[in-house]
Amino acid sequence: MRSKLFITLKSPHEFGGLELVRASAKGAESGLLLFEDAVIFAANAKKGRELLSAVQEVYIMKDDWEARGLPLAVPEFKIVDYPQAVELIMERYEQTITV
Amino acid sequence: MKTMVIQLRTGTMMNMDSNIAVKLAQAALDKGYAVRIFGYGEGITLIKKGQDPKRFPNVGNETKEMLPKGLEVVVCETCCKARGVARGEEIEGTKIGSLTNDLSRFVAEGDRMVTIAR
Repeated sequence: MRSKLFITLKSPHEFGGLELVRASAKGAESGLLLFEDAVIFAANAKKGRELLSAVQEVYIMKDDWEARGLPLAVPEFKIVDYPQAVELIMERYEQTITV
Repeated sequence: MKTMVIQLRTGTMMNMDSNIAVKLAQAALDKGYAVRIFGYGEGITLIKKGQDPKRFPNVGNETKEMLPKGLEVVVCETCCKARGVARGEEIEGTKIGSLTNDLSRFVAEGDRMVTIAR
C-alpha cells in the first residue's frame, strides 16, 4: 500500500477528518502535516495524541506554530520548515491527501 | 522532474491560505521541482493584477516573481466571470483557463497535489 501524507489546515475545533484519516492510513506508512490553525493540535496533549493514534508521524509547520506562540504539548510532533514540507510531500510519502 | 500541483480555493487577503500556497511553491521551485497552481473559487484572486494590500503579503507580486522560475498559474474562467474579473486583468504570464482543460492536465501530469481550501 502506498505511503500517505495527510494535510490539514483546520483547527482541532474544525477538524472532523480523524476517522477518515485513521481508516485511510490503516496498513500504510502515514503522516499528517499541519498548517495554519491546525498547529493548535500541538498545544493540546489530548487532541494531539488522538492524531498519533491514527498516523505514525505528525508534522507541524514551524512558521505557523511560532506565529501563534504555542507550547509544544506533544513532544513527538516534528517541527518542519517549508523546504522540509516539500521533501515530505514530494519524496518521503507517495501520496498526499488534504483533509 | 517531479511536479507539485497546488489547488488554491481561498482568496487573497482573506487569511494566510494564499500565502501558504506561494511559500510552498517557492520552496518547491527552489528544490528544482516544477510547480503548477490552479485557482478555483475565491482562489482566482491570486492572479488579479494591481494588488496593493496594506497589511497582508503581496502574493500577486510574489507569484509574478516566480513565473520566470517555471511556475505555471491558471485560474478558473467561470469563477472569474462570476466575480467580474475579465481577461486582461490577470498578472502577465498567468492564465484564465478552465477546470476541464487545465486542472485536468495538471492532475494528469502532476506527481503530488496539495489542496488549500476551507
